[in-house]
Amino acid sequence: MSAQVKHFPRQVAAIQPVFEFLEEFFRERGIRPASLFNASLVVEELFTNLVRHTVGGHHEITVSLADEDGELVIKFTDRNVEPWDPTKAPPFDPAQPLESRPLGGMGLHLVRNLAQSFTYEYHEGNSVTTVRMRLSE
Amino acid sequence: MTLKITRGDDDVLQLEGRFDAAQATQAKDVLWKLNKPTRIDMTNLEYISSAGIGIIVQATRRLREQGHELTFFGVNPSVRNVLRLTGLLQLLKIE
Repeated sequence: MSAQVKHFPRQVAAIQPVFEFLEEFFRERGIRPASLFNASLVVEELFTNLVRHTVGGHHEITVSLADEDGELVIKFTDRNVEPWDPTKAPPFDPAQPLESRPLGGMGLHLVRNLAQSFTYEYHEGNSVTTVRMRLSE
Repeated sequence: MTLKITRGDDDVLQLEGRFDAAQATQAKDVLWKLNKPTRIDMTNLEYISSAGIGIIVQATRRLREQGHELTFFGVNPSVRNVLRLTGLLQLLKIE
């Protein structure tokens, strides 16, 4: 089945309509809601990282959702930007003590832990970040 | 759904709904101002992301610096998994 695609303003507050898009996709495709929490988490962490870290850019971020072979495929496309590869972000150490741990890096740490695959491509000014997640049966 | 923060009994704060990046400012305004031992009721907290976790970490640090503790209860399995993945299950006081 084809992917569903939608464009969202490049701002943190736009995470609400992104969640609605994801929930609607789950409903329409009949995907069990058991996977929705982790899918929301991956979508939020990547979307907010793109909003905060990408330099330049179109005023919108494109989100594409597809389900293929029992996996949810989430793709973010950022146009006219400088390269920023979230898969290369420094690792986060969850064993660090509470008092001295940095607050940054947790979101992409969660993405790495929840995704089956997490890839990045850059071509002619366009950044494409793709995550594949296994859906609950 | 957004995040609803309600004061319950004297030392209890209830978090309900979704604690995501869009709710961060509202949550900071409440959680960073705590100045006494407080119990956080997460029974109706449906969702939390790293933005919410970061605010909880900072609120806990601030209270510990004052010699007080932030205690969490009613944590659902999905929220508990986020705390586990970020290494916080052992570092926060969770009932």
